[in-house]
Amino acid sequence: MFKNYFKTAFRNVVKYKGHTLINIAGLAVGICAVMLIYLYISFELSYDSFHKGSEKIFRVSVINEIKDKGTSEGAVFLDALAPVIKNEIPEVEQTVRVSDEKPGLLSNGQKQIQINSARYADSTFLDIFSFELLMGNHKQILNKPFTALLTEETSDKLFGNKNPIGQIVDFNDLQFEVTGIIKNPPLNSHLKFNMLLSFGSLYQMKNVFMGWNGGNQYITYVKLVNKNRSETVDKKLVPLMWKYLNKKLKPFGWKFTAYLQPLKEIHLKYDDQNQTRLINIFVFSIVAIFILLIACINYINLTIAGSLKRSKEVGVKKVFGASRIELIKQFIAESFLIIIISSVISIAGLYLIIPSYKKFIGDFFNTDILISINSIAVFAGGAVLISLIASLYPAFYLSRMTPLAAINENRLQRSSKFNIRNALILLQFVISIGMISSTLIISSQLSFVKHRDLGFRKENIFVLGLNSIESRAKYLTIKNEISKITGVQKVTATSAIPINGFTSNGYLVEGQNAPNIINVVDADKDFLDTYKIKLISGRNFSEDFGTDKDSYLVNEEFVKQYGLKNPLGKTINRNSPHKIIGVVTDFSFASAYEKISPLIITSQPESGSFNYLSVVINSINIVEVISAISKTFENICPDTPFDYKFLDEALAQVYHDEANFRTLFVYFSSLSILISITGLLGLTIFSLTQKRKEIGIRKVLGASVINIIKLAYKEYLLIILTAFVIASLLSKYFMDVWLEKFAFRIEPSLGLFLLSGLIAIVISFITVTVYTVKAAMANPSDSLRYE
Amino acid sequence: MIKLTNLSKYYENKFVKTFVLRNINLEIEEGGFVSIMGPSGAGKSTLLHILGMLDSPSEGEYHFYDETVHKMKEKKLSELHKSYLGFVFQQYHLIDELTVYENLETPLLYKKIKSDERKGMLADILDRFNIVAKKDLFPNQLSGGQQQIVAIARAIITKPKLILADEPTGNLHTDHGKEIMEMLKKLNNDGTTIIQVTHSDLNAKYGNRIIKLKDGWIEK
Repeated sequence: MFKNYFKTAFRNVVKYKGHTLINIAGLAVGICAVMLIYLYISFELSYDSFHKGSEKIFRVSVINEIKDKGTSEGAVFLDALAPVIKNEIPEVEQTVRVSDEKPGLLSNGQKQIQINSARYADSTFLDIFSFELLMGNHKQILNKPFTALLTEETSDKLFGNKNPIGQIVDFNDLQFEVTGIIKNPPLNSHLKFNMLLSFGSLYQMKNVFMGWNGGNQYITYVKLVNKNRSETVDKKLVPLMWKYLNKKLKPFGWKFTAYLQPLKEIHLKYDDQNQTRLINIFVFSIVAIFILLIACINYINLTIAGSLKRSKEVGVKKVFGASRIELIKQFIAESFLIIIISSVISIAGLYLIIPSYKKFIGDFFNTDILISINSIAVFAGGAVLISLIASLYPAFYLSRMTPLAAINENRLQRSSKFNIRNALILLQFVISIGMISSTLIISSQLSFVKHRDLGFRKENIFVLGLNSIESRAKYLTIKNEISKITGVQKVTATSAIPINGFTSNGYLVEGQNAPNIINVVDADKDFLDTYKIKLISGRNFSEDFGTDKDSYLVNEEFVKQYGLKNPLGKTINRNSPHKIIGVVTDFSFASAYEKISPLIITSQPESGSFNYLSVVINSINIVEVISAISKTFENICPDTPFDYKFLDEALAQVYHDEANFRTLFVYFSSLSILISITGLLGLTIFSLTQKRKEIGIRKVLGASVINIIKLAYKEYLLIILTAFVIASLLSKYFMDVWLEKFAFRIEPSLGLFLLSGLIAIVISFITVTVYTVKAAMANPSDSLRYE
Repeated sequence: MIKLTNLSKYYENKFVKTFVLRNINLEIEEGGFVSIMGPSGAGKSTLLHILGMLDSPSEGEYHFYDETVHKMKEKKLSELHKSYLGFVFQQYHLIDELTVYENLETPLLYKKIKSDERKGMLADILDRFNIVAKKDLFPNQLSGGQQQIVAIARAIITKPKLILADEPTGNLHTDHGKEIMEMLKKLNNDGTTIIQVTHSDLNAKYGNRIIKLKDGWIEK
């Protein structure tokens, strides 16, 4: 019997080649898109699950409440916390402290490389985390001061093929002995590093303050005896924090609360970008479901349309005793055959697409995921599910017909205005138009963000990083020498560049009774000129005034927020009083996600040095000017790599994730439109074949080609218009959620929605027309004779 | 074998009932060869379809042996089809995607007859209808008469008690038509009940009873 099902299935597949091709193409594209989305999502969800016992590992996060000042939260805290947690909370089996990322220069005497992320870590590091140790003794890693583990990549860069064990490396003027090589942290690790340094080293350094009064630079991870006890630990952390911190700090209005964050949830729930990530996952899951839905609808519609041709077969089989179940089985067998073919094509497609997919959204997953048991299960499960969903309706529809109706094709044709079919087309167009308008909204928001007026000059600014102690110490020499190069118009030294926000500190503003946390940037007197930031009142920093070392500039928002009527001459207290000497216009120093907040510009860097030189260069011969700057820099700081970027590029980089989001959206919405259009195409062809005779008769009666095209398109126009209205409302609602996270955002205009509706109408019109014209031009005698 | 009581068939369109069959009372004995005749639109085909359980009456009763057909569910009807009925259509209605052999096999598959037995039955019927040489051809490779022979072979392969034929010779050349009619006559002589719809008096003569329909009534 089964042989018979597949035999008929195969012959039908071959007989209706066009139909089959459209079906297979639509499904294959759909499956491909869904798998790509699945890979992306499963990668995002796989973060940190490679650690053995990862469900028992937690990160300690600390909330800091300051009375009347609000709260802040972070996992980077004091080093003294971990030992007391381990000693006083028995549920905790082990702890490890890991410092925040330290950038710097690493050298082995012969070669020097830039390191972005060195971290100090306890010797218990590998007891908790399952990063693979390639060389070195597991029991002895990081247990002595001034020892280091290099990642494979760092070791290769610095030592090449040579064995680095026992070698001494220099990191920011400190010497460490290499005692091991560790595999690069996998892409799906929230904790990234190029090098690990022994935590004990910190206690040997005179200028590093440790203990309860030390610096907030260390993350504490704990491993529990039992994964279900994290709430117990949270409760025990309350008296612990009281005992060591809150008791002493209460008079100052400070309060610390600590709690555990599950390791596997850090990436999605507790990271800086978790909002974006969760939204992306949510959005793409929906997109995947939509694409799958569109592909299934196509299949259903095409099968039903095809059934008009198949109905005789169904009828005859029924007359000869086929039961519904047998017919349903036959249709499912057919779908299954088509889906297997589509799956094979889509797997081949995936292998072709993945390299370029990675190219534009980043190499963030291993292609190995594709051949993991999970993926295969999802794939197989998906294929079965789609074949069931897609074939059930046609199967039931066809098997439900009375044999008489089925055999008598003419009767069927008269009742061919299936309402369910129209409803499905409507749904397809709602999804497609919704995706087009969402894509347009995302694109115009990103273009708005890119081109918005930041309040400062961003073109032709070249930013030079002062990454070493040497270069920071000699910043003034470098600045002066660079200023002399022809083509260089202005140079300024700053502590940060206005891309992704400035740091903040506590300041007591005159007229306020408690300190406020305010953004601050340290910049020299050339800052305003270089960045073309306007001074509204007062004056800029000047060497003519000896006291300017202690003076501040503030922005308009500062004046507004603290209600200063005459800001000039007012004082701001931080350790000592500082006078406001000028007010500048508001400029956007943070990303488009944030509003412009109050800002203080100081002339002196608090830590004693500036971190960046911003250089305005002549746009005519950029290459020459940069090579001149590079030469000058290397002459002054021979040991520091020349690290530079263009401000506009760096600004664009901030929205890199969003740009990827848009690119993916463009691709997936194009796919969904493509699939919908193939479906529409298939239906048009069918309905034209059905109407061949009608068209012939109408032509004999004098209908023009235009009349006939109208006839074909009339069916769809109303559906598309309805879809347009529904889709516009839906995408307006969902895009508002997405736009919410931007402080600087567009309001989607009506034109944008109309445009997306128009795109759908034009594309479908072209599709319908191409085939209709052919049918309409045909000689009526042919179509009539055919009957 | 068959008993129709006060059977009517109509189509309801808004407030108008269009009758196709009116108040039919009819009994057909086992072993009969009945011809239904009448002008176009008299309801011949509808009556045949109802008798063949392809259509259901709007009113009245239909008894097939002891079964009350008018109350039956789809599944039970399908059982009856398989066990008792064979159909022959004017347009043959062979399945285009299947070969002659496979077309003949289809009813046997639905009756869930085992492979060995099936092969025997198929060999027997191919031989009996003299179409062994054509078994691997597709319907569109055969002439109309040959297709109708295959269709009859398919109708009787399950050894039905009743064969319903809707103008079996309507599309055929006179010689072929005669051949088909003799075939039906022979089946009738072997004990199969036959009900045919026909326009031709000549064909009706093969049967032993004529029912005349006009405007949905049986003419007495």
